[in-house]
Amino acid sequence: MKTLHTFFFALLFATISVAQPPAYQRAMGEALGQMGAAESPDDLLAAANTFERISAQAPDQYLPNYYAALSLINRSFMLSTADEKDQSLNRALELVENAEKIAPGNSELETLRGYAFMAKLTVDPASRGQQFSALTYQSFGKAMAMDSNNPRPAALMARMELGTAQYFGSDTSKPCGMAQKAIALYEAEKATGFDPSWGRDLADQVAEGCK
Amino acid sequence: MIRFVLFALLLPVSGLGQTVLQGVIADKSGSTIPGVNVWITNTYDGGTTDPKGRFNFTTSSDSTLEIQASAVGFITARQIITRSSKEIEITLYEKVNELNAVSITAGSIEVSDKATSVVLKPLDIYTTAGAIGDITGAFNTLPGTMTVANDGRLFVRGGDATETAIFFDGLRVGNAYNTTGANVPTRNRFNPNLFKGTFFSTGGYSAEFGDALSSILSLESIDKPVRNQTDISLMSVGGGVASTFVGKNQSLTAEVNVLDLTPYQELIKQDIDFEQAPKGFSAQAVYRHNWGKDGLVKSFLQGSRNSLIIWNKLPGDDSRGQRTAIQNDFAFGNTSYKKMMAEKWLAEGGFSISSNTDKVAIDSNNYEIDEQLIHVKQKFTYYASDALKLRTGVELFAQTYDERIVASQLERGFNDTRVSVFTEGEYFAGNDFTFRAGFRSTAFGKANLVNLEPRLAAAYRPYKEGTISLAAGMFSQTQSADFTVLNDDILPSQSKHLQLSFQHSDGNRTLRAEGYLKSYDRLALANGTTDGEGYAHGFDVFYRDRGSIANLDFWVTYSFVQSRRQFGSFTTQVQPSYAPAHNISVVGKYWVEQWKTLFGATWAMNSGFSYDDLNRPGEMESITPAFASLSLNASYLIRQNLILHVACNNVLGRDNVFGYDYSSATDENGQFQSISRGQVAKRFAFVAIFWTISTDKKANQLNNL
Repeated sequence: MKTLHTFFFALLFATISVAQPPAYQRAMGEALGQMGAAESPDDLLAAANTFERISAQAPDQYLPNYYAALSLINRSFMLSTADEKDQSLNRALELVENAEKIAPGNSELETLRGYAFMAKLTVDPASRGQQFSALTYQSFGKAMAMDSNNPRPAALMARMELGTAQYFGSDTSKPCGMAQKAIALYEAEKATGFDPSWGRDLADQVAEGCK
Repeated sequence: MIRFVLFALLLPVSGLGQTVLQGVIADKSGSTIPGVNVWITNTYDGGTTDPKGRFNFTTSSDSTLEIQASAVGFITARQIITRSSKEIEITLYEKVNELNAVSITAGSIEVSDKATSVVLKPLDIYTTAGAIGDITGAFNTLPGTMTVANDGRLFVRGGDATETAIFFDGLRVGNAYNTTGANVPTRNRFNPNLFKGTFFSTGGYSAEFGDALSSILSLESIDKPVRNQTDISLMSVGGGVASTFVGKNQSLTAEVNVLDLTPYQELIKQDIDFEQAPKGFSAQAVYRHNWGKDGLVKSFLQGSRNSLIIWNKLPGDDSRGQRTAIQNDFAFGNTSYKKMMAEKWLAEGGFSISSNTDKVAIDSNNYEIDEQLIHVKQKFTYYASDALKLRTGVELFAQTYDERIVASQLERGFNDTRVSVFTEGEYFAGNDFTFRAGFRSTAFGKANLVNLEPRLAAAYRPYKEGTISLAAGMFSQTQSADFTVLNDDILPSQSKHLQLSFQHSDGNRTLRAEGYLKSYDRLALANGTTDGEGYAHGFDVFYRDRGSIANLDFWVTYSFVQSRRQFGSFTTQVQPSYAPAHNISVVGKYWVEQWKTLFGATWAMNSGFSYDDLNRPGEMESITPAFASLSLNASYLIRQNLILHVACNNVLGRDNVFGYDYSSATDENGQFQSISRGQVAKRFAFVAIFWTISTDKKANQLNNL
């Protein structure tokens, strides 16, 4: 029994050490913890910086850039001035592009781009609504086409569409259906390693809002 | 075994002794910088500076280390330290480039979505009360403009409307306004939805622009529409359909519009006697094609026909007066490109052709006027370094003009060719100083003249939100066709600008104040000479506030100008009729969330127009009563893609007078009879529905837009 455990552990260790050096593993684990614990825009910038440092050490991994961008997008919602928000979001979009050079055609990155556009829209909805709502929907649509099992574009799109539908008092069945679909995809999702797994709460919120 | 593996895992962490590195990051002025990423090269060890610019983190690396610090907007710094360093101090230097550098605000007003602090956004053109979706109407609320509501064109800082040159993607538009009858205000021919941004300069502009004594209005069309869509507008005065098709490397927008004021005028009595209400149609198309990865080619084509018939009462005459029938045919096409030719070389260029035909019948006399303008332009920008940008280009203008009296086949006209070259450099001496210097030289074909016009500008940032800038230059403009047709080698008129500007902009609030001196020389006179001179001195103040009161966005503009010039048949320097001394605009927009409605109000006033009272001694010695107009509008967002817009101009029904016309001979009492130039109607009401249908297949599947 003990030998078996040892064997599995050794195997796991071996796998990790071949694919990703332990320092990367540890650094990513810590950085994700830092991002999760962030309470202020400063905390999120610090988390984004940590991911950027990891990215410099692991240039073949797209996830450090991915999480740096995600931290900066989430940070933009906490900032107060439009210029600061835009600066944070522009940097996030740059990081998404950097990550796409490592992992082209990645559904998670396209989702993140849509999320950044969504954040840009909220900075100035009156002026940016037309352009950025189209760009946001396009990105989420592309992300779904790239990976129909990715729950995040569905959850984000449901969130955005529900808001619009409720605001104009129109039919909410489509975003509500999409939220249910997103929840089902989250149920089925087997996130491995540091793969993105966030957004379930968003889908639940939309589903709650549909009741 | 497990122990061993665990030990191996932990080894890199605890195997070597750890050192805490700490310090502070500051800019060259000593102010600390928060949010800086600090790390040891080739390791995961690092941290972020706190709000006081301090960092500390642990490292287990060797005794001699390279530490790096990077932050957005700064050059990444590297420094060699030892593990025993107690307090590390790193200075970060700001990146000097166009993006960070202070920009020259003197005379320039940018309309774009690029930054939230811009003076005006493209959407403002639609939501400014009084403008009714007219580009010029919205610009008439900005500093440096004069409200001449019976004309509708842009009058800048005491200059006449022809002194503002209008460009479409950098290429000149001839006859940018529709031809109308006396006292019937015109509109800009281009729909604001074509443009992503506008650059408006009220003086001191770059050497790139010429043939304009006072001002530049440069319209930049949309580069890449985001999706397939169809826009339908149904208005009380007409309607239109525009469709956009977006492909991978190309896109096409095609649009038709019809305008007919007949039903409106049947419903609401007009003060001007229309035999035929203004009506017309226009069709336009824009085609855009990517050129490689970083290039773009755009072509635009517009054709339109507009007509109206009015009767103008004549002073001292009780009959219906004089009948004027106007039919205007206009076509404009341009093709422009921009492309990075080499790493640091941007090439831009293109050509435009404007063609305008007016068929005018005054009573039984028929006239025809044909005008064509061709503009060819090629420009290169060389980014010598982040701090230095050089621009050079060459332009060709070819103009033909022909007017005929139809009955007698009497005809006269002219054609002229001009070639201009320009060169300009922009230097960013740090991010707080910007200098621009250049010159423009034009060879005027018929006038057999080569001129040289220096242009200079500088900007300084005394503090983060402030800009002080200065601009000066010499400008020229060919004489209007009225004079050139009589004398085709007439010299161009000239002006000199000097202006000093201060701007404070902190995101939601913008305050601008600008003073200027402008002198005019070689203005054409009725006696055939170009001995006219003049000046326009003044200042304007602008304040826009988007943030102080929730949901309220407002701006206040005050423009003062003292304009005097000898021109046309005047024998002395007079105040032109289009240059009221005091001009005020107050524009407000208020968003009511629960009604999903944006309310707008614009109050425009000026101190009155000068006019020549033939019964009084002197020239242009009289001033009309003050002009004032309150306009209201409301845009109701029925659905995300459906807007109901209602508007009313001059809601208070104020009787504004723009001047007087006098009889050509005195009556029995020795007086010249007069008649006032009034408004088309007391009020103008407007209702429209704007509907956008997305025809993007992908978008359609995913949302109901």
